[in-house]
Amino acid sequence: MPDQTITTMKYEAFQSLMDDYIDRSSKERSEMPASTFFELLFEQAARRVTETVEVEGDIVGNQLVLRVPAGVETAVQTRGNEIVVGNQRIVVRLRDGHILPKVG
Amino acid sequence: MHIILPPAFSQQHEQALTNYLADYHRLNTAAWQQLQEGINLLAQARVEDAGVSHTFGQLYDTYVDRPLADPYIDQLLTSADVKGNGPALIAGFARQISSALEKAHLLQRDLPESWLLFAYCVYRWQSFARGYAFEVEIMRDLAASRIRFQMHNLRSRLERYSSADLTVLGLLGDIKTSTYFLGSQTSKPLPNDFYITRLHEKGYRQTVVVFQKPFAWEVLGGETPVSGDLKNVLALLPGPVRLKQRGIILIVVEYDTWKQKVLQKQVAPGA
Repeated sequence: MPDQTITTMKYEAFQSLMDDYIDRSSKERSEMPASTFFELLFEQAARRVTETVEVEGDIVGNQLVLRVPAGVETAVQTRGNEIVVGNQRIVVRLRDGHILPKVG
Repeated sequence: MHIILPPAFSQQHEQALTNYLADYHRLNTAAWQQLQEGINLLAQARVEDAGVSHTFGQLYDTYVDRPLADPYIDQLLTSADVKGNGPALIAGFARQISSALEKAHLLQRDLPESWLLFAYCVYRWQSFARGYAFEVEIMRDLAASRIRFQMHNLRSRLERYSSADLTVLGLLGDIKTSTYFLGSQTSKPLPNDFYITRLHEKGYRQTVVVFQKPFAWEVLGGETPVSGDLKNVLALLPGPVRLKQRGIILIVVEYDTWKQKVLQKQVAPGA
């Protein structure tokens, strides 16, 4: 394994690393061991089920305005009262446009 | 021009990427995981220039996927011998990436962070290109095996992004190499009924396997599987092996076993 990382090696060494990688990886037909593949697959599948993304909301002029908090890295996007997740759009509507007083 | 890496992209992520590029046979599971995380984080890295900002993911689409994917798929589909010609084809297209990025001033000798963009693009391209070479091989093998199936149109960029690659006996399936599969999972966990991939394990020959949801194996009228674990799954093939982890159950069989089951079902009376 190389002593240095991509950004700490010399440019010529980086170019050589990439050239060799392209040659080798283009020829090889398999790269990930079965045990590793299934371990990561199960973990990824389980994580995707439980991943939680918190979205903040404000009422602006009787309209719900949602947003992903700054600094949160997620593929979830918000636009007004809509949340976009992949190819699905979730529209959140306030019932009858009434704003209920906060309890407690 | 300057490059902003996500704060979560750590030295360990960069080390895993470097080690992967140098010799991925020596990566352990933790390093593979670091690599997957690192690639996902690099997709969000930003290149800012003259008030305009683009992510590495967007730049890959603009400078690699859009110009190279269609011509590559075309050449793949017109090649009579994908197994033989694939490596030179994949490498030939990969070698166009550095000049495309240099021409756009996105790969600069004196800006090491721009080397990460190049590494990211080549990683994604190799995953994509090898994944589709494998898909074409499987597509041709299924046809040669007289299996009836519907395939998405590989020449359509839109269809390439669909989660299912093919339909067999009403079951939705996906064909991918291992790294491409893990890198392209959608937000919905395991959305398809079965998956065809190629795996190896130390001490075992490389194997094409089909892993599927239990109901998909039942549709094929498959035998009761034996219980396996992550370490011994290839040893228990070619018959069905049941894997259970984190509440998820998958049935793994060797590709040839799966094809026999599909054929039996398709030629059965009333099929």
